Formats: sequence, C-alpha cells, structure tokens
Amino acid sequence: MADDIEDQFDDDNHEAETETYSSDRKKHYFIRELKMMMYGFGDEENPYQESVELLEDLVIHFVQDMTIKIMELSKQNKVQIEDLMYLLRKDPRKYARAKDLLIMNEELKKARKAFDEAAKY
Amino acid sequence: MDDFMDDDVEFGGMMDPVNLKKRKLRENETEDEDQSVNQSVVENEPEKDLKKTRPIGNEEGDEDEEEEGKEEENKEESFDISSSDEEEQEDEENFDLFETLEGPKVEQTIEETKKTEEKQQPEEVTKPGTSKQAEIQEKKKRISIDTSGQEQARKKKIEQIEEENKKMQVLMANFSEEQLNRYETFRRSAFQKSSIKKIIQTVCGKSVSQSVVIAMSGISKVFVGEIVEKALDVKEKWGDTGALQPKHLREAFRLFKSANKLSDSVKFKKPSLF
Repeated sequence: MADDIEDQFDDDNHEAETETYSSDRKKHYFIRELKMMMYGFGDEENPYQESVELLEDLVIHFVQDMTIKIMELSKQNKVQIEDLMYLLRKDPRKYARAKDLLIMNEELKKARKAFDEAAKY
Repeated sequence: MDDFMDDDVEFGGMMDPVNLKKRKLRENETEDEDQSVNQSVVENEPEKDLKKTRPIGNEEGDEDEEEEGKEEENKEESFDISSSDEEEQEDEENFDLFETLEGPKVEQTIEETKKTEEKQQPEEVTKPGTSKQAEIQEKKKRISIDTSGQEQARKKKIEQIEEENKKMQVLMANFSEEQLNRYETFRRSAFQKSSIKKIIQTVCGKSVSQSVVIAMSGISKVFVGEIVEKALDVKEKWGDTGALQPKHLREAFRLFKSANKLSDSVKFKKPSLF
C-alpha cells in the first residue's frame, strides 16, 4: 500500500526527483511541535508517526520552496520580508497571518523599548 | 503596512487569544478577582492597546504581554515568541495580563500610528506619574486631536473587534473540556524559530532577518492547518475513522496543490511543489 501511494505521488512530482518524499530524514526538526499542531487542527491526540513525518517533510519542502521563490524575486538573492509578502498576495489566509505577526512583532519591540526606558529610571 | 490594515478584519478571522479561554476557566474559579484586577487597571492611566492587536489573530498565546511595566516577569516571557512551554503558572500570569488589558482597551486603536504610540508609551512609563512626562503627554494629546476622521475609522475597527471578541467569548463559554484542550493546543503550538531559521539559511546561504523567520513560521503553521483540515475532509469522504493516515495527507496535499498554484514563477523552469 505504501508503494501505491508513492506511485500516485510520483506522477505529480516528476520534477522533484532529487527530492524525496520518504521520511528518511536523519534529523527530525518538528516532530514534537507538529504532533501538537495536528491535534490542535483536528486530528487525534496521538497522530500516526508516519503522518507526522510526512507532514514534517511537507513543511520543510514548503519552507524551502518559499525561500527559493523569495530569492528569485530579489535581485541579489536576498531573503527579504517584502518579497515574502508579495508572494503571499494571492493567499489571503497566509497573507493576513504574516501581516498580523509582523505587526505584533513591531508592537512588542516598542513595548520592550518602553520597558527598558522605564527600567532605567 | 498601514495600508493593509483595512483587510485585517475580513481575513483576520482568528479570534482572540487564549485569554478568552483562560477567562472562561477563571470564571469558574474567581470572578471577583478578575473584577478587582480590572478595576485597578482602569484606575491606572490607560495603556497601550497591544491587546487589541491580538484579536486580529495572534495564536501564540505566550508571546503577547504588552508593555505592562508592572508585570516584569511576564515581559521576560513575552520576549520568547515561540514558546512551547506548557507551564500553567506562566499562563496564569500571562492571562492575568490579558484580563487586565481587556477592560480599558475600548478606546485604543489597533493601527500603528506613531502619535498614539508615542502618546501611550510615556503614559505607561509614568505609572508613578512624573510631572515632566505628564506635560509631554498633554502636548502629544493636543497634537493628536486633529485626526478625527482617522479616529472614526479606528473606532469602527475597534467596535468590530470588540464584537468579534464577544462572539468568541460566547463560543468559548460553550466549549467542552476536550474542545478547550484542543483550542489551547491550537493556540500554543508553534514551530521553533531556530529550526525554521536553520532551514531557510540552508537554502539561502546567508543569514536572514528575524521578521522573515517569524513570518515563515506563522505561514507554515497556516499551511499545516490547511493540509490537516483538507485531510480531515478527505478522511470523512472516504469513510475512514481514527487518526489521519498518510494517504489522507497525500490526497489533501494533491488537492491543495491543484487548488493553490502558488507558483507565479511560470517563467522560471525551476520545479515547484506548490
């Protein structure tokens, strides 16, 4: 059954031959966080290990892909936030989320500044 | 960024932060406490409404913490944006903060306008209230009175957000234990910034700014959410039960790919998964 699934996927990803969809990663970055996330989004409390690994793979590819696209946008292969926002313009959810997070970050910075100033006196 | 603020309420969707949930839990415990805390805050000078930004869609419950000068501990914790800590105590303190900030927030705006922010910062700093800072405050108040049109728009936004908050509160009041648990996990789960940064830097070869990392982790979480939701739909459609299986995820991913051609890089021959 695993083979069938792999085949189905292969058709869609001819180009991605060099990239593997198998979960043969030596190092797992997100397993713990992903488990919690899957539960939060509606899965069981203990999701399948294979599912989590697959998702981790997907996320890593997603991040890598986005990064490559961002670099393509900028002239000097720099990863800049404006390019990211441009890429997300078509996707309202992600765009809104990124914007909110960045605004929050700004607010936090200001808060910290104020706090530091207060701490001085 | 200010230009985009208008879209916030539509897309934002994500309601209010964990404070609501905690509020619910606290309701069961000590209502009096909350009221007294709220009152004490109201008596103090109005604080910047960092809280207001949260309703728009902050899912990381632990990172907020406004510039509350008094709650120093919380401040420290707030600096750590990606905390997957589940310490109850930390939450308690954090949520105290939210509780207190909920009250007087009504007049506050969400938009980052320098005027209001500068105005607010000295206000917070001068809890004890030095006369010099009070003068500065007054001056800035006078300056900021001119923008009545803007303020109306802000008030509308604030009202909208308030409404959403209330709806959220009502909703959360009716959550079952399991739903509350799930919601809490949803809000608190996040990717480690360091891991995301590593991945980006491996691709990029250069160092990346912090904002990119922050945005990328947030977007990845949205991505996971979309895939998982689709996978759950697929699972239902196929009549399976139990935990999500890889086949559901793969099908969901396939649907996601066909629906969301994120690739505006048609001219580039580089293969793309999305």
